[in-house]
Amino acid sequence: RFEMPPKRSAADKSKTSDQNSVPLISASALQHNLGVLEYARTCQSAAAGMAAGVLGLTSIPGFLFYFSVVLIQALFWESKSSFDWPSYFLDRTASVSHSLVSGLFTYILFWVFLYGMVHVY
Amino acid sequence: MPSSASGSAPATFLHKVIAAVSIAALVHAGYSAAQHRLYLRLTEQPFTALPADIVAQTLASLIFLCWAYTHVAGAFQPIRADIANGRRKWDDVGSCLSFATFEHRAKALSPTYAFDSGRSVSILLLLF
Repeated sequence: RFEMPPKRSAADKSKTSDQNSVPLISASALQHNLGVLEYARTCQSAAAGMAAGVLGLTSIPGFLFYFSVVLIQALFWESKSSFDWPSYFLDRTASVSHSLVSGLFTYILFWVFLYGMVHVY
Repeated sequence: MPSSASGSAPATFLHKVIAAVSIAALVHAGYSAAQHRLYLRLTEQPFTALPADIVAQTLASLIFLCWAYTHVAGAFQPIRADIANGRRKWDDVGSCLSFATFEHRAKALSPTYAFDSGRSVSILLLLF
């Protein structure tokens, strides 16, 4: 799936004209970008869980709150990539779907903890 | 990947300050909500909803925190290696200063190399 960029020489110069047909992906840059997404998703899930616990949400509204914050986070990521997502990621839906479920588990952890701290005890 | 090729703007000190202030505001909103519940319990009033200012502070600090952490997490790098390397000049790509040699014996092969025979003769005289 990921190809390393080949070494350039003078003989390869004829290939540079049709370089758009075979895109060469830098694996290190792609992994760096996915790590950035992972970091921000974890922070966003923890913050959204804290907010949901403070607001005292329960059951379905709490889960809807998580997914609405996911959409807001996707908007921030799209604007951070200057609305040019394909030049930074291969997966077009990664701004919404990247580590969606593991973020949900982090969210539930903080949600339950803050709900108990604020509204139960 | 050189820093000039990074795609989006890097995190600044302002982003970290906004993130810290947002976390403090979020924790403060939680403390305010807990105090509101305690007040209702002491005055024996039923809990219906949180005050609007606590809700607004919670949501605003959440939005600012998400925005700040999006930028604190780091800058996106362009993944198209062919485009990124295609713009680089040979002066950047071919300069390997770690391998630069300034005193190589092949300098004697240069047509502009002036052979100092007198120096060699004097060294021979010193040795023998």
